[in-house]
Amino acid sequence: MLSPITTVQSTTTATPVSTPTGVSGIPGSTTEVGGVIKAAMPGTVMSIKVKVGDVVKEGDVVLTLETMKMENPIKANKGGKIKEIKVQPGKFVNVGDPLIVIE
Amino acid sequence: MSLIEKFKELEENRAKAKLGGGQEAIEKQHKAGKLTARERIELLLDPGSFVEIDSFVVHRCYDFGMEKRRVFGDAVVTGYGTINGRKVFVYAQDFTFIGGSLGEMHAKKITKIQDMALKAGVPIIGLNDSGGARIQEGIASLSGYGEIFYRNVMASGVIPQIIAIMGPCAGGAVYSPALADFIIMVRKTSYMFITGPKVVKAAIGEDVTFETLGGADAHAKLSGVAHFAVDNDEECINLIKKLLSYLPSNNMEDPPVVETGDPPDRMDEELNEIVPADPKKPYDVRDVINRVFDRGTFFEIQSQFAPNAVIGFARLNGRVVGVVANQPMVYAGCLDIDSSDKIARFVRTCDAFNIPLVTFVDVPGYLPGTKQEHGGVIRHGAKVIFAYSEATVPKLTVILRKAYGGGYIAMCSKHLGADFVFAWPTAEIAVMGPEGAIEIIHKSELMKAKTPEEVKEITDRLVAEYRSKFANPYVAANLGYVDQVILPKETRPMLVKALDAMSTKREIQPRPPKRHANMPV
Repeated sequence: MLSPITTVQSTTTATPVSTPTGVSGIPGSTTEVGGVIKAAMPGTVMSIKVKVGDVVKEGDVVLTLETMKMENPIKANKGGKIKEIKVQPGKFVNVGDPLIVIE
Repeated sequence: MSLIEKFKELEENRAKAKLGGGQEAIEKQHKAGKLTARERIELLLDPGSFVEIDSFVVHRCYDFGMEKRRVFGDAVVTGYGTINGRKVFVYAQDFTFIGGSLGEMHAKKITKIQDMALKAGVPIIGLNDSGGARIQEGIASLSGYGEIFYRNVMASGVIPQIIAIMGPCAGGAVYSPALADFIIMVRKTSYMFITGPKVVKAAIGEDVTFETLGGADAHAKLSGVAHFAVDNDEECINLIKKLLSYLPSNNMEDPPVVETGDPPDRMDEELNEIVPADPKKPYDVRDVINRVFDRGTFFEIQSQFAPNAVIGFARLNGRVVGVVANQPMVYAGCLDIDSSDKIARFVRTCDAFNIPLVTFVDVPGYLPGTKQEHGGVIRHGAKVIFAYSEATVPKLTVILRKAYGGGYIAMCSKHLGADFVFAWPTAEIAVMGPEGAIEIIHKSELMKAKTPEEVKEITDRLVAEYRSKFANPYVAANLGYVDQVILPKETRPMLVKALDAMSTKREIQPRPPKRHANMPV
């Protein structure tokens, strides 16, 4: 009866697969440890809002990550200088992949 | 023995019973950062309200030198009292005597309290701190667990059962909490698992610590076994009191109504600003929840587990409601295995205890992938539909933005028996998202396009057409699937009125007689 109904739109972005059961344990949109901003969800990097050497404040958006067609702003959880950018727009990242390193 | 001597003997025995495993063991308990069973009960109950029973129960094991290790109470303190004036029954395991281990008589004390709580129609609170089965007592301790489990099940859906894990809880012992309604775990001092790190290492060669395997955070974030993780015993006790304030004493009563001082007709202008019109922009659905319900009353449950869904209790014009919402900030708010389990269980908890449901919908669908499909997202996702359909409490739904496909149906749609469905002007109620829909509907037209630019041009045009025609609340409102389209700021007064209208709800459609339904698990 429900066959014509497709619940997930076909998507060019990603097949988000992470932990065996899905998305448990994700506190928000990012996991940030020791200045390394890591992907908390799988997705495609859309845009990078900073350059190496830029100084950011806590809460500044450093990049956007598209997951399930949602453009998630990824924020710095500490202030500092951008030391390294590990990804480029269009790159698909998995949970735990490093995105940006803040000094 | 004279009368005075008899009375004195009782006083002495009472003093002995109070000591549990002895002063030295009590100090050890404190050094471990834990309160004793009696201290915990004292904190939990209104001052002077605790009435203890079975203080003089002792075990009757004569093997392995156990006849020499016998203290009054047998490592568990049981009784009843009040919390903010409301009756509760309580048991607290006493780790200071033989590690709080559970034997025949220890179990009998607990089952007696369970029976009393069920007869009285009063919540039961368990404060667990036990090394597990008392091996010396053999299968008598197993029978003890079984008797406790059976009563957990009999009491399920009749009286609230809240269990705090405030020490070890391993092996079969985990299943009594698991059968209860809510589990609270204390960080660093408590853990729960079926088999400990030693057996894990021996059986499958995996190295893992107690904390990683079964600590409070492991269960609050990953397994979903614990509804709350707290930092210490005091925090744990306070949380139990707060949780209880949202629950009725039994399934024949409503939760206590509290005057919150928040006007029922309050309109929050800021609500108009929270949900972006652009469906690609996320937001924190808790900002919506906090503005709609009585100020400061939203009490989130399982906040770290499956954060793509948000559940919790709140008050609406003083009345307790159960809140369920998709969280667009995490995985676009899609449903998956864990969020389905989280929602379904909560819906049933609310329904069992006469707590009306308010559901906020912004769901693009289900999380795709082999992990989800092979993990049984079909089976788990079915629970949400089952739980909502079965629930007979008032069911109110607010569609904030996306309500696509199966996700739309599952999230307490009109079709599953929602009493009122409201939609915001930003709502997009459709069989699927515009991009996906046009790929299917206009496949042949898209195939004709020769260049990627042309594809994009056609796609953009068709998406815009589809969006304006179908991705809105009016198609559903035309059909009566949505009862009213409302401004975001009108949500609170509309929900208050809807709840009032449905406060006397009776399910008029008789349901066929059956032993019980066969919910997918």
